[in-house]
Amino acid sequence: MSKGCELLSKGLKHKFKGLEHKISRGKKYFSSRGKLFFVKDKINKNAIFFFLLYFFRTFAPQMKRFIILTIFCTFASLLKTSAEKWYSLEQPNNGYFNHVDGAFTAGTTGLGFDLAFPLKNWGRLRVGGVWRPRGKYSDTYAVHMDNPEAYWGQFSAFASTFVGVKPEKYIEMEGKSSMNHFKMLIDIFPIKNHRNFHVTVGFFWGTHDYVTATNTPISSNTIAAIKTYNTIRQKALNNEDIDLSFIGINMQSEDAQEIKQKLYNKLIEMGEVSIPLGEKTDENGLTHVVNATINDKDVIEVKATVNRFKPYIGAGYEIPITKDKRTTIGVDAGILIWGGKPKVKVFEGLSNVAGQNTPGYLRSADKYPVYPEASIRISQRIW
Amino acid sequence: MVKKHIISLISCMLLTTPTMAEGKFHRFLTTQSVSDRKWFNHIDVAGTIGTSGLGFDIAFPMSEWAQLRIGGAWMPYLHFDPSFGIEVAENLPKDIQGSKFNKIADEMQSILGTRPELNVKMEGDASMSNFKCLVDIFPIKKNRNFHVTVGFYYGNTDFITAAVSPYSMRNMTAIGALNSLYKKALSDKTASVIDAEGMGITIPEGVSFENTNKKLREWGETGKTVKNRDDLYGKEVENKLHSENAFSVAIGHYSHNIVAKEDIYYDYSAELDNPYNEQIGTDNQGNPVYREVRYQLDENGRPIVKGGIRYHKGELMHKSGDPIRMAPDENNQISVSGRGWWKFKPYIGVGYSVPITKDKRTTLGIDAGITIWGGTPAIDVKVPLGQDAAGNAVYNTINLVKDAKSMPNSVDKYVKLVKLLPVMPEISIRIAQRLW
Repeated sequence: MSKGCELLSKGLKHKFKGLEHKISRGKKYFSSRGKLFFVKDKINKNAIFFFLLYFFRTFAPQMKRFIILTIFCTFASLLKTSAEKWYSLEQPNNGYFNHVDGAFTAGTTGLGFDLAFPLKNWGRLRVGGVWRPRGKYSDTYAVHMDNPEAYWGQFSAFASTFVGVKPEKYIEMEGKSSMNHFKMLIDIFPIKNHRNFHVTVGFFWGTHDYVTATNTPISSNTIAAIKTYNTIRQKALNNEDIDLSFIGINMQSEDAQEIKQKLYNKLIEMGEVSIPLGEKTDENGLTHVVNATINDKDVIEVKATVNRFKPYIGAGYEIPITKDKRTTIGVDAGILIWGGKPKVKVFEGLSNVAGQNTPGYLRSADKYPVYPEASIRISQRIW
Repeated sequence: MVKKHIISLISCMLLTTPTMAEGKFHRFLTTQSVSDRKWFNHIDVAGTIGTSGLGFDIAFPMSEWAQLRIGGAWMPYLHFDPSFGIEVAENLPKDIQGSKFNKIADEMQSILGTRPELNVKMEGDASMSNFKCLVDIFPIKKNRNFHVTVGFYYGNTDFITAAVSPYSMRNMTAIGALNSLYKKALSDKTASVIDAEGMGITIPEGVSFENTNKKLREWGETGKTVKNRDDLYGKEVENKLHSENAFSVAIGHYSHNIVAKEDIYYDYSAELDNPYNEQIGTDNQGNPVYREVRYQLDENGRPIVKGGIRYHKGELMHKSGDPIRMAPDENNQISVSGRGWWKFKPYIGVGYSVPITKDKRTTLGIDAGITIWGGTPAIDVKVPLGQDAAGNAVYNTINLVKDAKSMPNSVDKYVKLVKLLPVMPEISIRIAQRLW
């Protein structure tokens, strides 16, 4: 009985051994073709699929959380790795600067390039530049007058005389945003023998005025008209003299004095002409209108400024896209720290901003102390 | 020198290509196998960078010896800022112009709130975007390193736009305002230049604007006088010649004679009869040149000059060497624009590419060729000439590339550059990746 059992178990063992042998041969067969990962990864793929399905069903209305979880799951499944995996990256020799990779990047800070050098097996130095093409916006702000029905025509006649063109009922602002940066980043590989995932620290150095907006040249006429009108009206309020001798009018004559007084009375009656930007509540809780300031060059100017030196912190993931693993594609995500809130003097603390098309990042720039950076990077080993 | 180097480099590449294919560089240089290339059975994507800007393309094999590339190229905005001087009247020495302008500027400051200056800065952008469709032909059998390319680019023709910088507009509004007062004074010697009625102010009776208008007209006096045959009184009157605009923006000199392409009137909006001929100068042979002037009579029976034909069709408008003067338009603007001629631009060129990865799926290439865009582009400025019969402003378009010389340096360098470009040279680097 026992012998019989032994024989049976031996036979089974033998059979199992044969099977094991076959499996190991199969493994070799598959791995020698470089296709084993398909077999192995089926489990992983299924896992990811069910994860995605589950989260899609649960979180479909909250897409943001869904996207975050998807990325997390993908990373988590890929993190568990070995050197054989198709997505694993070459381990560099244990030295500094013994390779150079050249890379193109595209992302929220613009188009760029970098050169990357290994720092032993724990890190990598990336040095490069990034340039965001100019973004543009345009917006209009209405010209305000207390009683336009009665006085706009008269204001227009005033402008035709003193500026040579009729004013428009609005002014147009044109904004340009640009970002040009030098960058120096250190990628740290926190997981031993695994270079796919990295944490990045470093800095960007560059742009100071990241948004500059001015009125359009055509609107300069309206602005000149408003400034001239308000300048002369101020003289009227202060009862100062006006010098028109350059157009041959002798202001000492009785006629000239009479015309001047009529003009002054008219200007005071018509009231101030302004360009309201928004409303501001002061410390007493009173809301008052904030008007655009025309600078000494007769320009309305809005500037958003940030520190030139911007620390960066982020993380990234990279996989090879060629069999020789010399070409890779990666994603990086992180934050650029402005180093203090952006300064936008004009819109600071304003509510009910008049322009409808002024971008949110400018209207309420002081609410964003960081700039999100997300980029794709294609890299090629040079040597 | 540079040409020589390029030619020798290309000929070296051409000569060495067939031999290298056989030699020891064979493995390194040859691109992927040639025989499997059939109609659209692979796709390569590529990024390009070159004289036509940044671009991309998608490439498909068409047969063993040809490849189709379709993509786009986009030249980012190049920013430039030409600047011009403001000229007071015509043919006056610079120091007199300066002192005349400074006096006016000082006095204007109290009214405008800012002091105008004697220069105008412009801001210009140049950009080009093109769709491209190119066919690479591989003339050497079983070698895909070297190719000849034919195809076309299709894109914008207006590639430069420039306008006065907002920071310089105060100078433009100032000279625009002064010109408008000057023109009113020029067309009517006694009427009020101030639109008092429009402002709701009544001018006291008996107030004369004769002195005001005389002072305003002085701004545009050229220093030249001319004898007018006054038909009305049957005698000759010596008059000071006035410029069209008291203040203009100087942009260089005409390089050849410019004639009128159509009849050009000035201030023709009033109902005018009573034509008479006014001498406006002499021609090259010393004969008097007249122009037709139309006028109305005032209540005292004196003629008020109102307008007439400025130039007859075919008449000489600007002599070679005359200064080119731009004046602010109805928006107090001057504009400069650059344009090519053809939207459809044929391309012909050569290229060379090598693989840069061991699997040969990534390649690096260089392409050089020419895009034919219909000749040297034009850089146009609009010079005001007066009004047409309907009272609309008429401008003469002057092409700075053909019609102008001795321009300010900040403009001349761009004009010189454009003159070098009867065809657009295209040199680009291309990195391609096989997708499948």
